[in-house]
Amino acid sequence: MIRLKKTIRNLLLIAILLFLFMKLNGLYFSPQNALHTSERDLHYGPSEIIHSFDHGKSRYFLTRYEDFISCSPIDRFIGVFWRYGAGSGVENIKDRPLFTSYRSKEADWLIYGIRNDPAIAKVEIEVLNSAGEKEIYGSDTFYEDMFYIMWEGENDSNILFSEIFVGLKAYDDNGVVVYDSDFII
Amino acid sequence: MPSAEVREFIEKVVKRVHFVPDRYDIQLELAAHIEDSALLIQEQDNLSPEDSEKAALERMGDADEIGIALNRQHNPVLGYMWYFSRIIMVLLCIIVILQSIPMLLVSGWTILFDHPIRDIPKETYVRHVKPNELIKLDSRRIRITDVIQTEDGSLHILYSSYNLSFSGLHGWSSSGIGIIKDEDGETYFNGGGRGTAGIYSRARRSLDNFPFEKEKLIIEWDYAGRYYKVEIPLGEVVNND
Repeated sequence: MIRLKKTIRNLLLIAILLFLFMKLNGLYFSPQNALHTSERDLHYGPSEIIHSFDHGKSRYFLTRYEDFISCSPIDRFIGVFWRYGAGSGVENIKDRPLFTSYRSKEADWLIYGIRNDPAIAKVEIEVLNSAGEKEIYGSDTFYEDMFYIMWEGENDSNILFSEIFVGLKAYDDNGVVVYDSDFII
Repeated sequence: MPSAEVREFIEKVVKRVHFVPDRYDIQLELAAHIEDSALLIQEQDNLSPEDSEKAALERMGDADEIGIALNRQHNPVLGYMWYFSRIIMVLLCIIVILQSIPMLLVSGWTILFDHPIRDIPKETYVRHVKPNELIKLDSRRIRITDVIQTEDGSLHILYSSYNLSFSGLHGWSSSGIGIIKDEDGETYFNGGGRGTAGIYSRARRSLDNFPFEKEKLIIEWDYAGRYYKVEIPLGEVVNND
């Protein structure tokens, strides 16, 4: 009986300590909770999650909130937790046929965006690799008009996106270019 | 030192106890009990130490049955829950204390000693109002405590903030207060400022060359579905030679 009481006391203390540990480290049991709490602390959202995908130790969320879009990574932490830490969006400029933004994380580059012209069926980005050669990455998958393209580069914090970006093209179903931009996103 | 028979008997008993951490205590208790019993028999029946030990073991009964009964008493499920919960609790306690110390020190320092108002020499004040305006922005609470204009034309907005979601605990939260304007809609960006860290922070936002003739300061937030507007009368300029 004494041991039962002690076990109950220990479990209650563990619950309190775990709560404090999670608060101190910005941890959540669900990545959606981590994302939406991060957003709220940035005075943004809660956004609607359009699509999510795992890459490395992170789960990326393609989201939409009012006229804003975002693709925020939420990192996994010691197996069971998800760490808070990303969340704000960029405002969609609707008079562009294709609106995009980008982010980088470690060696990964990511562009994401939304098609404002429904005729767009495929997006391609041309970038320079570490040897200075041009490489093309593309996507023809859209999630409620949103898309993402991810590639691994030789990235370090000193490399700016403007240094590797060459051009962005969008094609319709017939392969005709409907958007062509060599400006930084 | 118990004899080989006693040790064998005790081993047989404790093998039935599945909660291993209790086995050692049970062994000691049984050995002491058998020893006491053997001494009593030796005195009562006038037997040799060896015979009294044998008699004491016989009186103990079947080792397996005792082991099964003790296993029920020392429930392994509850036992291991208690055992591991104690380890986890101690580990978590150490981690939480170690992680809390810097944050508590920083917050304590801010609350007690670090007030950005002390960055501004009092003798340079030409206007000073204490709006004590509370702004609610999501779970963040911002209180505009002081607005001070100094003789060089700088306008200093002093505010404290904390977050009900405790995001200050891991040092990651928004710290801005919005767009700053005057009563004619002129916006002001140039300047500097600083803020303190911790669960309760104090900050100073300083704007260069705020005109002395302006009578009102407007702080406005209009972003991502959040809106607030605070209008602060600045009072009269004094001691501006």
